[in-house]
Amino acid sequence: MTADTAISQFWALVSGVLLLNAEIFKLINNLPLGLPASILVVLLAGLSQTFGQSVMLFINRVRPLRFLLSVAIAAVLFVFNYNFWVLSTWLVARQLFEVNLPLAEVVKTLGFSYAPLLFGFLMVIPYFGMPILIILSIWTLMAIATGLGAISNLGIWQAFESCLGGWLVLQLSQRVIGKAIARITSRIVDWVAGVKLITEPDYLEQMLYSGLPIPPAITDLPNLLGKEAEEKTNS
Amino acid sequence: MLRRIILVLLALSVVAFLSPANAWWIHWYALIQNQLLNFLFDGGRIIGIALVLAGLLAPFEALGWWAGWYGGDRDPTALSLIGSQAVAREQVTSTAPHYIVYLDGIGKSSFKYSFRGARFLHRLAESLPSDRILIKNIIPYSVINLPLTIGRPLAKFWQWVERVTHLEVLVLLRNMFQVAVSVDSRYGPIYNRGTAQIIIDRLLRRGYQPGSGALITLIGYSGGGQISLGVVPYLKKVLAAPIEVISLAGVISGNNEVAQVEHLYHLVGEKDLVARFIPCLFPRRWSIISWSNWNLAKIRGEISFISLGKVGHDSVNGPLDETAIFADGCNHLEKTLSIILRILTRVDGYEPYPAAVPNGRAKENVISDYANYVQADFNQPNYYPIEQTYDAHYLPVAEWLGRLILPNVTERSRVDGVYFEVHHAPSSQQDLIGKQVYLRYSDRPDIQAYVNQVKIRIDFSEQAYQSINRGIIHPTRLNHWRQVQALESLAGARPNDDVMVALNSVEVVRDSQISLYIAREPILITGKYYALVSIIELLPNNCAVVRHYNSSSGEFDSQEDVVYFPQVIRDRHGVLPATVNQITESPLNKTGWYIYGAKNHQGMFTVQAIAPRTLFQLQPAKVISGLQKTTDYIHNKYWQDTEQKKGQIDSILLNPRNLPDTELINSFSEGDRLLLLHTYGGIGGKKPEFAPLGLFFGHFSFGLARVVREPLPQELRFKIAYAQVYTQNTTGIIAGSLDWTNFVGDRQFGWLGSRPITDIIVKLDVLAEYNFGGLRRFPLNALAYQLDRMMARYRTGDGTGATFVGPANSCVQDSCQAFYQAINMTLTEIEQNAQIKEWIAAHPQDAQTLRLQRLVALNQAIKDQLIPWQTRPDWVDSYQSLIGTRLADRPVNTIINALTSWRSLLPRLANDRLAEIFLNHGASLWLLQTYQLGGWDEDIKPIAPTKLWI
Repeated sequence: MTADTAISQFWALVSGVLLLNAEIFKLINNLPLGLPASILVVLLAGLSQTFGQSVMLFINRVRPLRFLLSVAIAAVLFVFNYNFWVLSTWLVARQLFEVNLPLAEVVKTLGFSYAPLLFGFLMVIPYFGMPILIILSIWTLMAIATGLGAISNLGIWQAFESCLGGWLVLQLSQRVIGKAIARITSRIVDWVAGVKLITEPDYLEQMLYSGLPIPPAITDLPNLLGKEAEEKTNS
Repeated sequence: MLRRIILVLLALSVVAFLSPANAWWIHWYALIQNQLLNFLFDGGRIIGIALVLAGLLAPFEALGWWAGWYGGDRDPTALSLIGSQAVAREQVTSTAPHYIVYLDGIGKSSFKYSFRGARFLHRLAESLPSDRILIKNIIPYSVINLPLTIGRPLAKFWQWVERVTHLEVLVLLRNMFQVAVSVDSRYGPIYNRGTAQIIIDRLLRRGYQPGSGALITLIGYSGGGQISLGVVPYLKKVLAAPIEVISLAGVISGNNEVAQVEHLYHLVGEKDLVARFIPCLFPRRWSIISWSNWNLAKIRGEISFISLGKVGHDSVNGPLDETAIFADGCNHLEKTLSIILRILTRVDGYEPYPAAVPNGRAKENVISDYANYVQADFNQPNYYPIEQTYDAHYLPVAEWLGRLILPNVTERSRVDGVYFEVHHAPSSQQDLIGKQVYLRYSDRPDIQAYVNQVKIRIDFSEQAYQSINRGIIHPTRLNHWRQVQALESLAGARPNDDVMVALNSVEVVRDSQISLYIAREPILITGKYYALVSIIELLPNNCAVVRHYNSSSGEFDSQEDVVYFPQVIRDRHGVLPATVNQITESPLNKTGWYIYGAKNHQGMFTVQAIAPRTLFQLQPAKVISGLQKTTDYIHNKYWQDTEQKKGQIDSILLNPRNLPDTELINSFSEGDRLLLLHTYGGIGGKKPEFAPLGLFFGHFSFGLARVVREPLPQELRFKIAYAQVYTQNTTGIIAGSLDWTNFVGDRQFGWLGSRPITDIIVKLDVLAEYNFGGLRRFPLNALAYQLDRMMARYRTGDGTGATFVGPANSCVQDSCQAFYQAINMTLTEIEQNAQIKEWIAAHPQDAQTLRLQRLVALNQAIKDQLIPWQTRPDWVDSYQSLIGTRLADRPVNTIINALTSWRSLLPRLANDRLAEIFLNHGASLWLLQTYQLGGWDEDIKPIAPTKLWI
């Protein structure tokens, strides 16, 4: 067993997480190389999920090579985002429930909890993609709660509350200080994609109508109020 | 429905676990161990994985096409270019009135139709009248119209599949996922855009004229039904066409803008499991999601459900099967064809398959006020002979006067407008009097563009039918008419041809038929002739002795006359709209009344409307000066002591800029056309109208006041016409341009005798006409345009036949939106005109330029005050209409719309806000107020409209 690392046992650990097995989470924290393995799960989940949501890149007509790069960079950004969320969840758990957990353990546990999102690519499936996303999200949330419960003495609801609190804190901080970060990330994404990515629904709709032979809107109004105007100004 | 499903499931589980079938379960479980079953399980797994793979790959044809991954020639914008060049080359112009596009079912892999599909199309093409154009050979399951069997990496495979029997299921599967792509909210817009482009290209090649209004019917079989609906928004936008969809055993998600279709015919067989059960996958088809487009369209009467009989989904026993025979001897194909042909060739105004909206048989059946009123002979047009002669004391109210007559549904295409029975014409056209001529909109392109915008098919909604039973007047004669235009909705607004109108700027064309061409909607009037009189004595037989005005003495000392004041009919609350009781004692009798009417068959002038002369004179009873004082007056004072003022008028001039009185009054000069704000209050007293919690919100509208020289007394006066954005009602008041005599002065249908009224005339230089070196722009013209459009939409209820007042739709909300849109439109028009922009740049200090800058500021103020968040989408795009629906139909949208424009929710609040904004921007306001004028009615009291807030 000592030769085992989290990397060599990677798929076994992942399937254990998928089955929401609490023992597996304890094992993850005991095996060496747990941290890189967990980051790997998040990275792969990020790849899978961004691929699942790649329709935005298509609408913006990103070229194939840049498409792949964009998916890759989005996955990396996903990892960063994940780390911020872990940090805030950890802080919330500490402040709210006074649980003193080592940060590394939380990173590993929550990282592996992202395993259900490995199926994120299934979101591509037309029409059923959206319900699949919902199922995956719930599944992930359950994995997170199980994981947190396994490594701490938090009950499932408390674990859930810390996750939610962490998420709220993250959203808040993104609103407050995140503008600059958001701008930088969107600049990176645009640069990789090679086009300025448009995400507002109104503009997307406009794009879809571009190129169609739509007759120009009439801007000159008919003179409905009759001739009097001319008569008056002439007189 | 849901309950029924649960019951069935419950019953099944009871059977499964309590009956001997349980033993079978155990047996089945034992068999699982069996090798054979293991093999089947593996097979199932492989199929499952294949399904997932197929699903994963499905969206990429559309996505890759849009992103241009397939190389330049398939780039969407480039394709469109190629398409339009091809169009230019092969341009054929066609005047076909009807285009039919067929989109095949999901069994399609190449241009070749299945045996049954080919028979269907062949017989359809055979049976169609020769002027219909049928377009086929479209692969609805490929955004690039590429068959599976040609030019694809897997073409060989699909060719093989086509050859081998029993493998069509693979094609079905592949195409089913394409339908799912069309349904998907993420991919759907792209996919549908691709298919739409193919259909548009094909239509243009076959000579379709965008904007011509030729009907397009999409026939979608199975999955084609979904694709048909998906492409509708694009077709609408590009071709501006009326579109109907026939879904033949169609699988329809209800996600699409089904509300945009003129009408959907949904043909489903009773044994069709596909078309019946797949919709269960689409939440928007569930009846509990009542606000979905699908359910909304159902309520609005836009979907006809038609049964094909005991027919399956496809192939043998399907709707196109010739070998399957019904009990009555005809085969499935014949039956399907006959239904489709009945729809395609049905005559206008008749609907063989009306939507399943319950059309009445309600418990209540209230008689409308209108129906009671027209019982009286003097409220009928034929009470007054057309040929009339008068002495110099009487004048016609306009040069062109007459009655609108709705053409018969079969005459519509020939008339292209309505009939006009000429009652009065200019001296050069006297021979037309008494004739019925065509009345049409001018064929100028700008006018036609407007006319086409408001054309709509009318199918009454459930609520429209209910509303009729509650005694409300709806355009019943227009039900099931296609492409109803503004003149028709005006002439057909009431059940009888009794709409009397005046026409402006008429062009007479005398061909084989005589036609009058107009550039603007007719104005509804009451009374064709008028005189200025003072009433001397009331006679017992409802007649009165009056004395005419003498312009040389300035007194009422001209000849005496006897006129008839018919006793009007009481409304449903028992209130008399007008009376002549003690009218000789009215303070207004000394200065005289304008009386409007016509002579009856006995030659007696019958007074249909009255108007107090002093109200319209340019002589204010009081001038209030100073910005603070005038704002304060609007804020607190102008509706004060309403009850005490019963029977009187007020004419108050607000002068915020402290001009000398005479200079201010003289600034209202002949020919001025000024904005007018109208509000009315309520009826109280012994027969009060319904006012919950004592709140009476009243009514608001815009209008246009002109300063004209009145020939009878030779003095300047205001002449008022309203733009009434008015919902259907019991009185039969029509949303449209109504003259003061019609909306207010009318003794039977008007409000002069029963309601207090305030008209505020706005003299504001920034709203006057602009002249940029010869290029003229007039904001009030844009307002007229916007309001005309809105009023036409109100008359048809956006195709539902009924408009309802709700928090987000009302006279006041929609009028305010029109005003804001109008100013915006004027500004955009100026912005987009290079010549005007040049002129402005060259004349930065010109009075016109400075005035324009103030218009921008005014627009901003109105936006801030009345339209706080954004322009509501339903205003710009009538397909997002809320007009024909009620709060319950679309709770979320309605409430959001109401909240985003709360300041224009209440008539008086909006009126006062607007007045204050105008004062702050330098306007002078002239308030004309009336408080139940005419004779004295002891039973009623005037009530000021409630002003909540501040």
